[in-house]
Formats: sequence, structure tokens, C-alpha cells
Amino acid sequence: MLKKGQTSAAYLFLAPFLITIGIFFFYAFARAIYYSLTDFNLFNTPKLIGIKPYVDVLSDPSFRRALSNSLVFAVITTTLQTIGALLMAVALNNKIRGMAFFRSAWYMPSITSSVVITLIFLWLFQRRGVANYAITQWQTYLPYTLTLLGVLIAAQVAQVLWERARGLPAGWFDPALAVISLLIALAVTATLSWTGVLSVRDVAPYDFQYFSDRWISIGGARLLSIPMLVIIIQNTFTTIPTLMLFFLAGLQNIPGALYEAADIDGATPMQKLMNVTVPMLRPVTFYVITVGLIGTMKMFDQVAVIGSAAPQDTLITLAYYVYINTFKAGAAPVNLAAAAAIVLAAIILVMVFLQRRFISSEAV
Amino acid sequence: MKKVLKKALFVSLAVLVAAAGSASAQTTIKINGYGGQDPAIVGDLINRFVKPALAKDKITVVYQPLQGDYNQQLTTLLAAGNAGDVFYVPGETLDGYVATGKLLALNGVVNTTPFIKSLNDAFTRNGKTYAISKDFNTLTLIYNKDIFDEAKVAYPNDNDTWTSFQNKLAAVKKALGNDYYGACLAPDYARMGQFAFAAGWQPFDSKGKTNLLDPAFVSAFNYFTGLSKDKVGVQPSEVSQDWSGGCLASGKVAVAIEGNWIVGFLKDNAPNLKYGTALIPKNDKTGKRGNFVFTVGWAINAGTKNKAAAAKVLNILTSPNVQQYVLEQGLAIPSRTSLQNNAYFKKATPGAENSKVVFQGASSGTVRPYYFGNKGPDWAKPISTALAAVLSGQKSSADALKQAQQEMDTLQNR
Amino acid sequence: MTTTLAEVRKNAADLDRWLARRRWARAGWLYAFMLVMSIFFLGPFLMGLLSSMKDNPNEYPPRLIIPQLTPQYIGRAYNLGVQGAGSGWNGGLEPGRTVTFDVSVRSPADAPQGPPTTALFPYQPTSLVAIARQAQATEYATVRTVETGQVGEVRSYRITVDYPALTAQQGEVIAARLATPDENVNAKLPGGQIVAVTLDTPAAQDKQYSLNATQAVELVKAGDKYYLRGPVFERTPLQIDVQRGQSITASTLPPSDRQNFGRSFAYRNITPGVLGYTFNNYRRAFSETTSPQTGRSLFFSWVLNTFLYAFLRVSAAIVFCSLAGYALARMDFPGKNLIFIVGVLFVQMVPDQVNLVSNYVLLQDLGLLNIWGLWFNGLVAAGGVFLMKQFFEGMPKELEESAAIDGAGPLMTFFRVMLPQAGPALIALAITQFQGAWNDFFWPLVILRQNTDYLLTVGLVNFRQLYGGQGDYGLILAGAVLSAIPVIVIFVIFQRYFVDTGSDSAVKG
Repeated sequence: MLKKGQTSAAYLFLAPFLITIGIFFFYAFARAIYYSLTDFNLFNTPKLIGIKPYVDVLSDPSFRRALSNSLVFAVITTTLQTIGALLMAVALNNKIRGMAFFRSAWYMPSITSSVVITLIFLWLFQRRGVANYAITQWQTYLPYTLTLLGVLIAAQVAQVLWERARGLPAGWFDPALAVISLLIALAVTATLSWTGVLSVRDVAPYDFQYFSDRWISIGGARLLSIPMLVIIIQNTFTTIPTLMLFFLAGLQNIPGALYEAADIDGATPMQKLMNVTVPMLRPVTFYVITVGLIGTMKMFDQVAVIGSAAPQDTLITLAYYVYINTFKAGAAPVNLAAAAAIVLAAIILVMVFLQRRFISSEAV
Repeated sequence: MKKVLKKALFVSLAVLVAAAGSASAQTTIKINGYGGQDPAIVGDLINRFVKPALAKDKITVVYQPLQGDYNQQLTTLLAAGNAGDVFYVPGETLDGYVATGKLLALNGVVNTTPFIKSLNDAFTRNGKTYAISKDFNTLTLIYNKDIFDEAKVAYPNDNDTWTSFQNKLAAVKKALGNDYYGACLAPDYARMGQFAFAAGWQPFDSKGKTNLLDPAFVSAFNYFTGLSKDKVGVQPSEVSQDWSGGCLASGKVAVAIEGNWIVGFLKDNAPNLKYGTALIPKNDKTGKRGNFVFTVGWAINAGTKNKAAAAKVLNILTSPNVQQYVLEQGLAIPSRTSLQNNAYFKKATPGAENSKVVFQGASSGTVRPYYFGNKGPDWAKPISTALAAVLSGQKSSADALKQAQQEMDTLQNR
Repeated sequence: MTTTLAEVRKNAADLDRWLARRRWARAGWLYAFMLVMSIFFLGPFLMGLLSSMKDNPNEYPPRLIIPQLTPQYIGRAYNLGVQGAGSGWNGGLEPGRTVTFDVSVRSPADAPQGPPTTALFPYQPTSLVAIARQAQATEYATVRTVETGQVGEVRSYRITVDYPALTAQQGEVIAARLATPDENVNAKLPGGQIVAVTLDTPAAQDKQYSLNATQAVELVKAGDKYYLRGPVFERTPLQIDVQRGQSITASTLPPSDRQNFGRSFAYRNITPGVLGYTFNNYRRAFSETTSPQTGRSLFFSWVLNTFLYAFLRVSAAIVFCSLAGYALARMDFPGKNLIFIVGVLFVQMVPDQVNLVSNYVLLQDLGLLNIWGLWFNGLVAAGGVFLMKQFFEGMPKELEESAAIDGAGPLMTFFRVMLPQAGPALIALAITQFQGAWNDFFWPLVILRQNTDYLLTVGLVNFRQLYGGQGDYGLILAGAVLSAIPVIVIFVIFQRYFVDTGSDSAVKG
């Protein structure tokens, strides 16, 4: 019916799209490959020199650092945000009043720009910043927290045992009893504080410099820098809400019959999570991981915003390596930058390919 | 109505004629420089000095500021062949530009003798001078007068040696206790290197290699990091600041080692802070002080079509009149030796006082350009890393220097 | 079993009650958990918002209760604004007005008993661009200090700032700005008319050469002449110093800076008004970025640029992405799969940095290193094409078929039949594109060269480069809050679509 003349119409429809990606993507991509095989430095006429730029780039210590940083960042962040989002989605898979409000509130970090959030985090994580202040407060009030927690647990255990003795099927985490336990714990802590048994600890302000040359090493090899850890926290913080919504949508599509069947088999909540929820969410998880890996491998904004506030080695990523080697004072190793960009693209493609090849995206 | 129309016609005709006339013989010289405050300043200089002087030569001058990362922008413009005829070149990135062949050697084009020698050196490679210093900065000791008064310790002065300076700081710390500190120590080669110069260290030997285990360097390194002993000195981050200027503004630290750029900052951020300025202390043994010069120069594009006109503009921009104006307006510290007797330096404001000391700093003792060699800013990284490690107590000075030397060797053998 | 029926019933009822109680408690815990998480996710923003109002956002320990949000001090700031300029909102200092400011000083018996030294000081913060040097209150106003009372060791003083008008002429008072002077001082009236200003007193003539263009002034119109009443100051900076042993115990407003061991207090503005007090950093973000050439606020330009760019991106996406998405979803043609896989999927995987050099050089050669170049660079977003393809695939085929029977061509079918049906998907597309454009950073950073062309993200990062990389966190936080507001507003209005699109593409992708 719609066959005749469709090819030309379709290409007409696609023309703006094809022209844009033709110029700004494929032409640019081809040029990048070409530059990566030349001695181009912005000021000379490019001359083909074979794969030497690739050899040079692979032996450049700061490229290796960028590569390692990018991979570590991508793997850790993707793992953390996927697991975090999944757990939160499971916890929130309840139809309760006011859900819309909470969802909006949590969505806030993911709609604001990475620049704004990075600036705010940079400010929070100063040496005498809010983050360190919060840790100091935590240490100061540790006696209170511990007392509260201890009394809470003791009261809960006592109550559960009592209820069970009365023949009621109370679980260890029974929520109603926990409310009572909490009230008891609060009362006890307040009394102890009143009578002066409990007092705040006198601790020196917690003094940790986040944006400095500190590393978490394994076997002497510097693996993850502390500034990068802050970015990981920030990135997880901003992405969890979005991913959680993906998972929530997925959860709502799981037939309730599956859980009922599991209940009949006497499955614990943990078993239900591992044997019903996780397998059923596989398509969503697959998507979330793919998007996560691609996104985190391309990480650039945060590093560029922090810039000189942290030592360069601690934060440099492949994307940033390409950027700083393209724009330098005077002659710039643009060929190396292009080679690094191609390597980055190749890594992402291989990652996606491997994931497609070895992990099934079908629900089981 | 008719009259108005007629008048309008006449005016527009006149404009057209004037435009046509000027287009025939006008040469336009484009200047590239920093954004921020510079467009207003350079614009002012062009209007006041350059235009009147060049009116008869039919040369117009326009200033095109480059926002953001200046080096990056200038590089792309140079590469594309549309950079200005005259432009700023920061001293520390000179080599990158020399390598592109886009800088015109100024030997024989401009007379360099009236300018401070250390500033000419900063722009000279293999006997060729590539730029004329526009203005400059050196490091000084900026001290909080109230803190020294409160501690009843004498202010730092130009005769201080490393030891006497250290003693003053220790006395301040002792008198004021926990919440106050003697000095702000930024873990940065650019705030410590001057001590090494004073001790006689050369950043590069004849083969271009850097020796951080040289006793002169080690003594300076130990002196600088030793100031942090007993919390006499602190890093800026320890008082929640990013740099020593913020440190001083907090009112808790007696001395900061900074250049003239701190003056504007203090005016905005600690308007009621009373401060004074002294020269960097001298090394006890050599009896000399050391200093960095931080400078930006005027360079000419080797690809310019109007070399003569560009040279004229450059000569006017570095002329005694312009430099005197720049200095007296408190805009920057220009580069001519003859300015040392200028009345501005005798003014009693803390800002003018600081300018004077900065100016003196460029010709007192061993003064070297702020310069990294052919490896670029990466060169200073091992030193700064070692400083940070020792100042925050993570490493001993010997270990830190050993590692820094290793990193330096790797870098220089690359 | 000896339980009676009644007992069984009673037990069952007990159990029901027990279970109900449990459900309630569970809901309670759930809400508590959600509340805690909300604090976690909103906390950084709320802290940023709060601190953006502080004089010094880096204060340690960070306070949660700050004078800028305390009714008492806001009231005083308002009152001082009224005294100084007749405006409790804007504040400032106008000629002919008198401002009083109270301070209490404790002088123990063994300390000096004299009054504090008070003075106005010059203060004009600089930001991204140089503003013409503004007149300073200290050169025009006088300060008097009078003791007003004593309670024990504490004496209170009243500081009076008096700013007499420069002319005795009476008449209509006009607010104007100075224009470029010739042999006279000239002013630009609110209507745009340039008039010569008469300086009729020695005090006024004294200032003839210290007044710069763009300075806000008050003129008196008497007869056909305009007399200078005096400059209008945005700030009245006051400094109070006491002697060793004395201490300042209270003042009308808290000081913005303390030096000399708490014996020197600086108040950056004692006539702030509410805007200048609580929202000072917000006002600074606009006013301190005023470009001297154009007189326009750079920050304001950045906001407009960002809106323009977002609008361009959204319009292009709505037309071009839906066209391409429709073609890929509903038409048959050779190369369709290839285009989808390479043009849509592959493009989204490859990082932008690959195209960096080529696109930059290309746009530079075309003279397009501006918003338009930025727009062309990302004219049709592959992600948008993907979204629209998914949407059109889900639409019933009957619509097109009936259109085809009516003899409509493909373009007609698309614009008349399909596009009007695509409302929700288009809104979703528009929102994602708006958000993408608003938060875009990499390409704007590379392509935009003039600071008048910047988008908010790039401009904000520039705030960090002030004072040699130190950054002014007051400006940064205020700018961050301002730049987040539009996205939040859009989000609140359209949040249903945010959530829907996300999950759709997730499950299908």
C-alpha cells in the first residue's frame, strides 16, 4: 500500500539526520583515524607515519593512567549504581500515598547538570567542608549513637522473644515492635544524657584532604585515587535515582503470581529477590549496565570542572586526555589525541560487544 | 520633514565617503590578549596612546580578547592562521610557541636594553628574544600587621635571613597559640623554588637534566617543609582555603608568600586586614635571596602581513609613557628599569608598597623566570607532589625527594 | 483442645489487630526511610542553597541558622535599606540621607574606655570583567559616633552616616546614569536623553574628574538645568575598630569580616536592603558580571544564550528526529537496518572526543564558533531519533492506511496524521532535549569562544577561575542554584513524562 516511492520519501525524511551525522560524525571520525596515523600537530601539513602514534600513546604514562582511571571508574561506578538502584527499587516497590513526592525529590540530582553538581561536591568535600564537618559530628556524637543502637537491639530482641512466648509469629525485624524499641532507646539515651552518664566526645575536627594525591593501592599498584572516589560517589548519587526508576518500571511488570508461588514454597525475602526479582529484571539490568558502561567510560565534565583543584594524575580520564592533548600551548600532539580517542571508542565498542555476546538479555 | 531627510542623506553620504577613504589605505593591527579585566585596560591604552600616535600612519588597532584558557585559544588561532598580529605570550609557555615557528624574533626590531634583564631572559632562547615583557610579578612576603603586633614580634623586613625569618614565625606561633599560624605554605614549586635559587640551585644542568638531590635544593626543600614543624606553618587547605591569599585573608596566618595579585584579592575579601610587604628572606650561607619572575610578554606573529606596523604598535605599548600610566593607575607592574624611581612606589598604601617590593624583587639576588623546560608544566609536578607529601606528614623529606628524582628522571628521559 | 469458640474468635481478632498494627508500623518505617533518602538526595542542594546566602560559604563550622535568614536581621536590613535609599528591598545610599547603625562595645575596667574608631572604606568587588571604577561612599559621606548609653561594662554607640546632597537646588529629583563626559559632566536620563549636568557647589565641582561614565547618580531638575545631587551607592561599607582589651558585643547587623583578633569589624554594606543582604550573592552574580562595553550582565547573557540554545535544540529535534524516527519505524527502503545500527546505535556509543579536532577545525573554518555552530554540531540527536522510532513503532497501522486511501503522500501523512498523534512522545523528546541542552558542557566548552556567547555551564566554571583558581564560592553556589532552577521548574511541571520515557526506553532497549 505505501510501497511506491517510499525509498525516496524515506531518504527525504532521513536527509537532515544523515547530513548531520555525515558531516559531524562520519567525516569527523574518518579524519580522526587519518590524523591518528600522521604526525599532525596543528601547525604542520599532516604526513602519514603509520601506527607510530598508537605506539607512542600506549607508552605514554599519562595515557596509561587515564586508561586505568577510566576503566576503574567505569567498572566501580556501574556496579555500585546498578546494585544500589536495584535495592532501592525493591525497597520502594510499594503502592503508598505520597510516592510521587518522594520520587520527584530523589530525581533532583539526576536532572541538574553535572557541572552544577560537581561544583557543589567540590565545595562539600573541601578540607574544612561540610562533608568533613558531618564526619566530625558523627564522631562527636558516637556515644549517643552507639547507646541508641545498643538499646534498640536489646529492646527488640527482648520484645520479639516475649511475643513469641505468647505464640505470636513475630519476626526479628518486626516493624511494630521496632517502633516501640526505638521509643525505648530514645528514652534511655535521653535519660542517660540528662543524668550526665553520656556526654559528647571531644574530637579534633576531622581533617581529610580529598582532592589530593592519595591512592588506594593493591599490591603496590595505584588503583583508585581519592579524588576519583569522590567522583564515583557523586556519580552514583546522581545516577541511582534514574536507574531506580527503570527498575521500578521493570518490577511493576513482574507478574504477582510468581511471588505467590514463591510464598507457597516458603521462600524467604532474600530468596525471592535472588530467584524471582533479579532474573525477571534481566532485560532492564542489561540495559542499565550497557548505558552505565558507555556513559562512565566517556566521563569528562567532572574532571574538566575540577581541573587544577586536584592533581592531574588522580583524575585524568581518556576523554580528558584527548581534550588536553588537542588544545595545548603551541604545538600539540593532536595525532596522539586522535589515537587515544580511537582507542577509547574501540574499548567502548568491545565492551558492548562482549556484553551482548556473553550475557543474555532475555528474562529467564 | 524634508529638511530632516536631506540632512540624514547628507550625513550618510559623508559617512560613506569617509569609510571609502579610510578603507583604501588603512592597515589594521589585531591584538590578542586575555579576557577578564584586560579588554578594558588595553582598550584604554589603545585609545589614549596608540591611536593618537598612529593616526597619521593610517593604522587602526583592535583588541580581541581570548576568553577561557588563553594558551589553548591562541594555539588554535595560530594553527588556523588567524591569530592577531601582536599577542600576549605567557613566559612559562614560550617554548611551545617557539616550536611552532609562529613567533617573530625581535632582535633588531625592538631595543631590549631599557627592560629589566631577568625579564628579557625569560623570553630569550638561543640568543633570540621572542617577546617584550608587558608586565611582571615576583614573590614577596605579605604579612598581617595585627598578628605581629599582637604577638609583639617585629615585622619581617628586607634584611631577614632564612633563620631570622623562621624565628619570627616561631615566636608568633608561640605567642598566639593553637588557632594562629606563622606562615602559609602552599605545596607548590612556584612558592618554594625561590629558596632553592637562593641556595644556589640550578633547575637545569648543562645537559638539561634536573637534580633534586643537589644539596642546595635539599637544603631549601628542608627549610620550606621545616617551617611546618610544630604547626608554625600550615598548608592553605588546613584552614579551608585553596591558596595562601585565602589563608592570609582568614586572619589566622601571619605571612603568605605571594605576588602582587594578592592585593586585589585582599581588597575584596578582607578589606580591613592591615598588611605589609617585605622581600623574600636571604639564604644565610650565600647571603642572597632568590625569586621567580612571572611575566607575560608582547610578541609579534611571524605570519603577519604588516610587520612594520605591528612593530610600531608593540613599541608604543611598551613605551615609557604607557608603562608609567599602567603603573600609576595601579593596573600592573611594567618592565622598564627606569620606573624604579616612579612616585607611585613611594605611596603609602599597602598595595603600592607591595608593588614596590615586587618590582625590587626582580633585580635582587638570583632571579629566574617561572619556567619548566621543554617538558612543560609536568616538570614541576614531582616537586609539588613531594612538597605536599612532606608537609602533610606522609613521607620523610629524604624519601619524598628520592621518589621525586625518580619521577623526574622518567619524565626527562621520555 | 479446650478452647471455646469465643476464645478462638477473640484470638483471631487479636491476631488481626496485631497484624494491622504491624502494617501501620511498616508503613511508618517506610516513610521514615523515604524521608531519610530524600534528605540524602536533596541534602547537598539544600546545603548549597543555604550557603549561597552566607557572606562566607566556607565558614567552619558551617552554621544552619544564619543571620541572612533570621527575621530579626532581615527586618533590620530592610530598615537600613529604607534609611539609605528609601527602598527596603534594594538598599543603597542616596544623597541627602542619613543612616544610623548601633554597636555595643565592652570595655572592662583595666581596658581603654574610649569610643570605637569608625570609618567608611572603599569597597568594590571585582569579578569576571572590569567594571568602570564606581564612586565610593567614603568620599562623599561622613561618619559620627555618639555614645548612647551604658550598661555595666558595655557602652552602646550610635554611628550616623550622613550623606549631604551636593546641591542646594530644589526641584524634581531624577535618577540617571552618567554618560561619557566632554568638557561637562553628562548624564543619560531614564528616557535616553543625554543632558549636561551642572555642578553648582564647590563640593560638586571637586568631584568632576573622579566620576566615571555609567555611575548611577541623582539629579535635580530646576528650571531647564540639571544639578548633580550626588552619586547613588550600591553599598555603604563601614569599618569599626576597638582598642586592645575592648570587644564588640553587638551590632545592628553582624559583621562580614573580622580581623585583628576580633577588634576590627568590617561591614561590607550597612544599607543592604533585603536583596543586598539575604540575596547578595545572587545580585552579585548579575551585577558584577556587567560587561563594560555593552553594559549588559554577562550572567544574564548566559541565561538567555542557554534558553536560546535549548529552544533551538528542541525545535530541531521535534522536526528532524520525528521525521527520521518515523522513516526508520514505518517505511521500507534499502539500507534501513544499516542506518539504524550505524547511524543510531553506533553513533551513540562513540565518544564525542573522537570528533573533537575535526569538528572544531571545520566550524572554525566556517566562522561558526558560536551558538549556531554548536547547534549544527548536534542538530539531530541520535538518541532522539531512537526515541521517536520506538514511539512510532507502537502506533496502529490503520491510521496511515486510511490516509493512504485518501490519497495523501508520505509528507502529508506524516504531518497531518502521524505527528498530531505523537503528542506525549514529542513532549518527552522536548524535555530530554531541553535537559540535554541546558546541561550540555563538552561542546559548548570547545566551541564557544566569546564570554558573551557562553552557556551557563561554561560560565559557571569560569567563576571558579577567579582570583587565580581560588574561586568565589558565594558566586559559584548562587550561580549553581540559579542555573538549576529552570530545569527543576520544567521537571516539576512535566515530571510524569520524565518518568514515563525513562522506563519505556529502558524496558524496550
